[in-house]
Amino acid sequence: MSQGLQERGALAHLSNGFRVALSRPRVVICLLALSLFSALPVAVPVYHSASAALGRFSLLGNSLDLLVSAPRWVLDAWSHPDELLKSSTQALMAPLLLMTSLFGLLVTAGWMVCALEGKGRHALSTFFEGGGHWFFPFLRTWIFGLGLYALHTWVIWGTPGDWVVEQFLPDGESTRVDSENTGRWITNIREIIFLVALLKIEIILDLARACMVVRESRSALGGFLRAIGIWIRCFPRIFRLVGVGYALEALWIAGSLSVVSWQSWPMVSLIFLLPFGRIVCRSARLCGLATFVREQIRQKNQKHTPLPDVLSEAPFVDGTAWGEPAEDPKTLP
Amino acid sequence: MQFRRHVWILLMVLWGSGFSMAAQLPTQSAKTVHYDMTVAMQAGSFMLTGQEQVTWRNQTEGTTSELFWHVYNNAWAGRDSVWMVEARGFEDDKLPRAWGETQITHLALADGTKLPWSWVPQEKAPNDRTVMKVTLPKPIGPGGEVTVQLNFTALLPPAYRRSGWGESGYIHAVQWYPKLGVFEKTADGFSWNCPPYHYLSEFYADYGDYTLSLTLPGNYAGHLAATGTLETETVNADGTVTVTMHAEDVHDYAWTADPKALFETRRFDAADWRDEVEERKVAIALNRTVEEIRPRDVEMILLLQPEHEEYRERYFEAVAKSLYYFGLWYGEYPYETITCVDPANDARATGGMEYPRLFTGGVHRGNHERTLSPEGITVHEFGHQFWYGLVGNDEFNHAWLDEGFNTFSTNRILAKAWPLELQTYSVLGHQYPGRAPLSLPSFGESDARAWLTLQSASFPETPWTEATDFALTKRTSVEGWLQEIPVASYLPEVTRNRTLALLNAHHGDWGQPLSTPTWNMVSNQLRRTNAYNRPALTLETMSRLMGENRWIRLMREWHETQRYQHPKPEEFRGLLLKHGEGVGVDWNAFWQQAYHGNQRMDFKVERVTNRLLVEDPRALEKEDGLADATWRVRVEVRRTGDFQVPVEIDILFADGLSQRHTWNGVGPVWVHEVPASTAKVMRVLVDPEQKLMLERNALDNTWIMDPRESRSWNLSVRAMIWAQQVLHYYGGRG
Repeated sequence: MSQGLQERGALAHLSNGFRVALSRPRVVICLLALSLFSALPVAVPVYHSASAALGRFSLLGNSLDLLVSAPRWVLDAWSHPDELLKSSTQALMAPLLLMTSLFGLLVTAGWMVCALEGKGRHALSTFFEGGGHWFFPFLRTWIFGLGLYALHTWVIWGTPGDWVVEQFLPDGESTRVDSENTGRWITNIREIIFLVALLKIEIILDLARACMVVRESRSALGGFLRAIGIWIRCFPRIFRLVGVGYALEALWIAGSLSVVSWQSWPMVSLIFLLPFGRIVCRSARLCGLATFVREQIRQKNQKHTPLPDVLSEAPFVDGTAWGEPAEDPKTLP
Repeated sequence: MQFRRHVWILLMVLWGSGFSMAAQLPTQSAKTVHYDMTVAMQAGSFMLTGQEQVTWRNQTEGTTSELFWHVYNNAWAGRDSVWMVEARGFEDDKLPRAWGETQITHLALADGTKLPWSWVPQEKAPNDRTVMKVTLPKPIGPGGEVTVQLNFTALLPPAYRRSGWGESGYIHAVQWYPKLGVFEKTADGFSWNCPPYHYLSEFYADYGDYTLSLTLPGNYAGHLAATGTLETETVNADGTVTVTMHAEDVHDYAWTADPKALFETRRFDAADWRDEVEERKVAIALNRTVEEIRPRDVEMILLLQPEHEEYRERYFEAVAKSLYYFGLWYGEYPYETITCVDPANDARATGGMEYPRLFTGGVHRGNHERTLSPEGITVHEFGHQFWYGLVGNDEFNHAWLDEGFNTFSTNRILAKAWPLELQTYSVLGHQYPGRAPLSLPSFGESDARAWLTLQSASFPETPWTEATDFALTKRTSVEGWLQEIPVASYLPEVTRNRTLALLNAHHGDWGQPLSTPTWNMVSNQLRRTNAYNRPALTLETMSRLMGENRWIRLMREWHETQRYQHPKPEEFRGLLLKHGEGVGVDWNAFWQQAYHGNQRMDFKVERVTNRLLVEDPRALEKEDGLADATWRVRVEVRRTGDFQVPVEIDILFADGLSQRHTWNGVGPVWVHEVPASTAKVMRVLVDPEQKLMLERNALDNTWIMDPRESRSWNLSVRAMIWAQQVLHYYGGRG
């Protein structure tokens, strides 16, 4: 640990992230509204289609609440011939997915700026100005990320992955070994490695974006290289930060479902509960990563440039970062 | 309760003493053929060397001086067999990893007279060697017989399309020996029915007895199951093991050996699986005693892969329930043993197949208990013991006579003996209940939308580069889970009734009628529809129109009269006319449309109007203003399909009274009008008891006054939760 700057634990960064997110209710509400409105174009055609096909349908002696239970043949009979529904879902989901992915860049930037900048200004303007300011630099990381995803997909599911699998399975086919277990294990391990690789890319991309924001640099490549450095140096802490973030998100999902099933809340409440928790958890992860990266960069800078006895600048000046006083008063003004 | 039981017993005794119709099951086949085979398999190879002595009796009125043989192992002898040529035509390009082949090394009469023989060239494949013709020195007339000595070698292929072996030594030997075709009456007289091995069809042979002496490497000792009953097993001086087996009244012979599989034998006792309600129902319908119809004890043999230990009980339960219900409905299973084979993982191509007294199942690890796997495949393949094994129809031309009857029977057993299946999704090979309200769109690589959804990317050819496609990501089961969060966004209880699931057949091609010969279908999908789903729906429709008792009698008679026979569709039509008489359906017309024709059955509630007849409008302002109102009601039902069949229409009025009408279904529209009704129409049901299983779209068969908005609301809530999860996931990607 550096002598001048105190290193915070990963969970402290994450908890700070939660504070940042929850102390900006306008931003959260805005994102929640966006989650609702972006899903509506999918839900509305379903409503109309189901209304037309099933509204006057009488199914004797079987449950057809279509929320929890349904006979499969009814769902098939409804959805299969409804080409309009299928094509509208396809037509809508494809651009929605792209727009959501791109809007995710704005959200990432917005939260990172909020986390780093403090609470001096109106939350929404900080969020959207920050998001807008960093959108195009982040777009470069997004394009860069697509390449990384494709590369990882190729490595794990393409020729190199196939070569590895062929060392265990003749012709790489799980149906060429006498026991199902062998193929099952290999396929599952491959899936999990792929998932971990995807997660790693996502974390590194977010680290790269945080580096860019912290350093005020618009270079995606520079941010990416620094992110890899931070990833290598602080892998366990980053993993803890992100992992606990995901675990809390999973807990929120489980809790929401429990509330709905045990407390008999209407299912429609999930439309609000799930996105709220997931948005807050994602925001907390992004904010946590941003402050974590700032800490790392400052520590690195401190190594290269010996700090004076008393810092001229507080490590966290936003007033939201840490509620408790620092342990060592010498390190803070 | 006690009194009711006594009444039942009394009724049974009465039927037993005076009115019962004695069981009509034939005890044995005509025994047209007799095979006596001695076969050995060399260690380290899958080459069989065999001698077979075959006696054929001419049980027809015709005369022949030829013998036609199936040599189906030669379908895998190269790319120029009929099977391979047809496979390419259906864009099935998968080839066996190594070829198999059968060669005839000696062919003579029992007295040593050599017989001239040749391969029969086929139009599509002149070099096909799956049919062999032998010319006899003198014709065989009615009642005559001939005995032929035939030596052969058969190299089995690695598991491929029903037959072959696996790396660990699993062997599934089917169609491994030269087998006689069927000499039978045709429209032009008498001839051999012995087609080549077609891609879309299966087998057809005569009943008889088989004796087999099989010598295998020593590691197969105690690890063999077959069509025949194992009689002796001897370990030879050279370490090999010789097993002798015998089977009677079967039309094929298969065997399976696997040194690593688990073998277990259990006794089936009908008393352990009784369904008293069903027993009574069948006994009453057949006018027999319960004792007369109760199935006999059978030895159940299970050959199970070690990694499928979790399915041991489920396999046995499925076999036992099949033995019980098939036996109860159609007549007892006549053989001593039934073997269920769980194929090795690298020989899954041999799974899901049926042979006399032996069938193969197949299952993957991790199935949810509410998915009927392996139960579904086990019941189905067992069912072929009755539909194919005991009733030996011509599978080349009329596969629906076994597959359709069997699909129908399988679905009835599954519905009766197991809880409804749940639809599931898979994560890391394990299944969990649930179904997505919508599906994530998937686009081809060249579709620009694949870019948008971050699935794949393609670049066109340029002067400097070739066209390339690559995946941006791969949607694995875990990633799919993370995208959709099924625990939150899926409908958790989507039940699957297998009979109703057959309705999906309506979404496929019905381009050829059921009467089209199976081998000549234009596509594999159409074969599936016409051999399995469509006839099962047709049989289900017939049974529901006819009523359960008549249907039980019809099916019993069909099985009893056709056991060990080669039935034709027209014979079934005869039974249909006989048992369906008096139920208000023109079965000739039905048969014409369902079997020879390609008509589709579809009705629809076109319009319902409730017009208030108001004499004094001020009455409406009173609280009970509509209480004494008069309505002009009109119900229109339209036949939107071209299948004409009587249909029932149920109309429910607001005062609780309901009317049941029967429309003959001939005209295009049925109209029911009441000029002055005291109550308005609240509900109209076309085919209220869902008898018409051939109905293409049952959703528009009903009409209710007040639409159920909650359904569309619920479904859209699910869809919205689903879309939110997917979009949230993509919001964090990139």
